[in-house]
Amino acid sequence: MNYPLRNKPKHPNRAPIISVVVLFLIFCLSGFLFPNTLRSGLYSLSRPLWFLGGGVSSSFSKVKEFFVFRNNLISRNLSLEDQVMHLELKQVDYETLQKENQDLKSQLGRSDSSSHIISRVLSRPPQSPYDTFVIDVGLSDGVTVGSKVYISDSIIIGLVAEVTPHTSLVQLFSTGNRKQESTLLRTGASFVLEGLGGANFKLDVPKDADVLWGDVFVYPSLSSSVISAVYYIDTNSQSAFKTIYLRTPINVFSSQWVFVEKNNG
Amino acid sequence: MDKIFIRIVAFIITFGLVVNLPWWISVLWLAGLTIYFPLYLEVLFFCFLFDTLYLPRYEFPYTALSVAFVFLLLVYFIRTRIRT
Repeated sequence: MNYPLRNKPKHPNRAPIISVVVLFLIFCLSGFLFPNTLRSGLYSLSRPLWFLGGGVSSSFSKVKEFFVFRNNLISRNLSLEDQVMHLELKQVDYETLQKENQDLKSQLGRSDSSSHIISRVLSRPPQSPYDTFVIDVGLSDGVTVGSKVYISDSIIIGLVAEVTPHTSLVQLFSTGNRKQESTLLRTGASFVLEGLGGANFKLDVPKDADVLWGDVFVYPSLSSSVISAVYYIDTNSQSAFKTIYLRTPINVFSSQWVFVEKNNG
Repeated sequence: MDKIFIRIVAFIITFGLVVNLPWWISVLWLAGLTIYFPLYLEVLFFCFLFDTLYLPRYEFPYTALSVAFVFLLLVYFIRTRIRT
């Protein structure tokens, strides 16, 4: 004989779980179906906030400069003047060498005709968790997927990964686990650098490999652009390999501007 | 009405913070909101925003969205277990 239960078990309310799952699926599907529309829309929404945030943070960063002692300012000013003079001399050398380099290339029938456009960085790490930059140039400015992105004339930091009409997403070479082909400038040997995030790289090579502290690795192309420089070599007596740690020679994350290779075609 | 108004204000503030603050602060902020509000569905939108703005390719599973999905369900289950 069956006896009915005195207290019926309560049926748990499934509606909240279903709503979470449905919303999750909607987001996933919309990402698949309208990736570019969504990107463009959300970039347009975020753009004014990025400009606003940039303005606020830059004005706050200047506040501490009001509280510096006069003596410190004078000494800093003198050292900066020295630095400027030194850099101006270097600039003259650099321009001479660059001209000579271009002349030699044109004599050999090769010329570097790519042009660069300056772009403002809208968002960068640490805002971005994926080691990516958002910049304010896009398809309408001649930028395409794969365009090279430089932080100075000769330092390359990454490639354009996604592009919308007025904005682009730049993936840094240093993105975690990303492999990047590069050439050691001193010897011409090729290596594959592994990204560690935050403008850092790692390279495992046999102990005998000719890589030294301060060595510069360049992007393999006609005009050499620096990717990174060696700052530490970890040699373990137990291992037949040594680990080389590299980083981009300039602070990538403090720059307000980058230069993007323009597609002339 | 007040609760809806608070959620709308929280949404607007969070949008500004997610876009401008370092990602780890945004994550802590979102985790706090998910725990504070009962079933904070907006967290899915904000993590989708992370993926859309910063992820180079749309590849399933979207990192931030998936983490938010699991975390939201986890918080919901813990919440209901504590209350019953």
